[in-house]
Amino acid sequence: MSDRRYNVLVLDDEKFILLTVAACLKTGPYQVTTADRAEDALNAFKQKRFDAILSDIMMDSVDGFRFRDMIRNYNKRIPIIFLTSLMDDIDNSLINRIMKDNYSYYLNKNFTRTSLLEKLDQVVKTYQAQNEISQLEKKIESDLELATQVQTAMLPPWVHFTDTYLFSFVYRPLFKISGDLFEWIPISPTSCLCVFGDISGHGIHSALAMTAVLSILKQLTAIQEPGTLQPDRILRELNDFFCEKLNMCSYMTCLVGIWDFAGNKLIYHNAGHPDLLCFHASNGEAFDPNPRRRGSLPVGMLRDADYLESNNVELKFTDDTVFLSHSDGLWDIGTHPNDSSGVDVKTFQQLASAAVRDNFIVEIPFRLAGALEQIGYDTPMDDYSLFVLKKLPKGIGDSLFLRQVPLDAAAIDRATADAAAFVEKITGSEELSGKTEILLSEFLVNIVKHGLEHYKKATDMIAVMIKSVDEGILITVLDRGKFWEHSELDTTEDLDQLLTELSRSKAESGRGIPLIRTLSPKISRRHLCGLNETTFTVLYEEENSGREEK
Amino acid sequence: MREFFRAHLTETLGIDDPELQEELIGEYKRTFDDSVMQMKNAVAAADFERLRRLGHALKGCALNIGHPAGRECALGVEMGARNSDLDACRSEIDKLAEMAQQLE
Repeated sequence: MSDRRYNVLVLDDEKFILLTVAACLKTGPYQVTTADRAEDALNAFKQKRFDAILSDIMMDSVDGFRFRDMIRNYNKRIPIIFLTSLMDDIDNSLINRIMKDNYSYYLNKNFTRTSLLEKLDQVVKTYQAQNEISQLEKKIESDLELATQVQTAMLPPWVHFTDTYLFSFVYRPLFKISGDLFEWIPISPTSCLCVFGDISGHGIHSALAMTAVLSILKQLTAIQEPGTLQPDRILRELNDFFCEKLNMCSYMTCLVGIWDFAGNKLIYHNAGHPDLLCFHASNGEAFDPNPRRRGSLPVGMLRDADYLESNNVELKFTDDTVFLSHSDGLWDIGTHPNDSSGVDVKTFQQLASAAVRDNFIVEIPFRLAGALEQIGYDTPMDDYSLFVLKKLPKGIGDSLFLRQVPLDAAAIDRATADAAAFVEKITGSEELSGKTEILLSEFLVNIVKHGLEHYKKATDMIAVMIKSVDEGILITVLDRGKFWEHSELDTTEDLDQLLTELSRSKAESGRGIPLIRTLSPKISRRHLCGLNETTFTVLYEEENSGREEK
Repeated sequence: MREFFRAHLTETLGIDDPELQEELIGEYKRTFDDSVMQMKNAVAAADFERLRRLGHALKGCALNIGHPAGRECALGVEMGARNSDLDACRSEIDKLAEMAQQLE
């Protein structure tokens, strides 16, 4: 034990015992505070930091166990040694009561100085170690929190629209951080490079490697002419990085693809990653983009591994092709903690076909993750990520407003002004345009203020879609904020009415809905596994149908 | 008796300061006398719960200072009270009262 002095609180209603214990510990490393009443002991405890407590059990007013309860309201783990004439009281009920608390001990009243010091030394050291572990855990927790933020900041936003394509993804670390990797680098307005990776293992080790790879990718693409980027070359560079700089301490399955949406051409190279899944959006039908199973070893596995150009896959795709990529952690999602069988591949493909056919592209990864959970696959064993990418039809911007909105006031102002201009352009109605601007502004600000209160991340986005329908316009907002809290319900005895009210209340709270309801009589809401979808219908005035005027 | 207690305090509890030893022995004596007096009152009132507590408390002190005879009788009072045996309690209290004289 170090030179530090430890504070010990002693409670006994016999003055003689207090004097003896204090005298016994006088020359040791302990500073003793005595009390002959539980209330006084508790007051002393509140005023000073103690390392251990010695207490009698049988006392006149408050017994030792009640005193322990009082202490536990303030400190769950401080060791309490009960001084007892246990030799004579040896019955299980007393021992059981003492041992009911994990941090309680006992010492017979015929203790010797040695036995008292040994017991104190034991409990104080254990308590100290537990406190150190607890501090360490807090530190690790806070470091992990920071690491999560750093890692998230390095990833692209979860949704992105350009004039020619869009993507969205779900990123699910097993712990707070992940070894899964996704990088998107626009090459030109109509082409982009995407890299999907999965570092071996999970947790801090793979997350660190993941962040290193992301920064290397940024460097690689920054120094190369966009036209010279080739999947096989990028993989060679990554393999060198893993072998030379990371000394092969991990490896990474990786799929590098370059999409050319002007020419409908994809060239990709798969280094041990689950292959791309391709679907036709019109009917959900799947097709195999790589029937000859071209590909290479994961990067970082073999120093001399060659990533040949001839192993690149070249694909001509149609406008309605939906590309879906995922990490192999998806196959490891179980139905319970010991489920080693994981997700059935055929089931997943069926779910994916249905999701592609029935949902807006942005929602597909969330819809799929939610569908897996719904059919029982709710216990991930590894990090997993799901990514979807699709070309947008030419001229879609004339009839559909698509915008990702960063979480700041200026961006919200710009987006709402653009949305209002779009609505006026497609409907000719200034009124609809004005309503759209107010509604969107109110709703988006409220999402940022309330819905994303604990969730603000530099790269997070809210997705907004607007389209014209017969009765007016439909505004769909997708956000990843907390599940909405519901407000106080009116008391009603009718169960159906109560459920309807509960559902309505959940859908409307926290997003400035009361004002918005006056602008949009029809509001619907869905929650898709971490994604909130809210759809507003803003109607033409009956006596002034904007569409007809236009 | 005092010598015996002093030896116990020194050897078992590591308390070798004569002044402190005297203080502790004096306090034990006071506790002992006070307990015997209270036990007599409790016997007169046939208050077994009080007798049990007094016997238990004195037993702890006796154990602590190394007074096996005192511990034995205090345990006798505690057990007698548990069994609601007034005669047994009385007999042990008498022994304790005699012992109190020896502690002078």
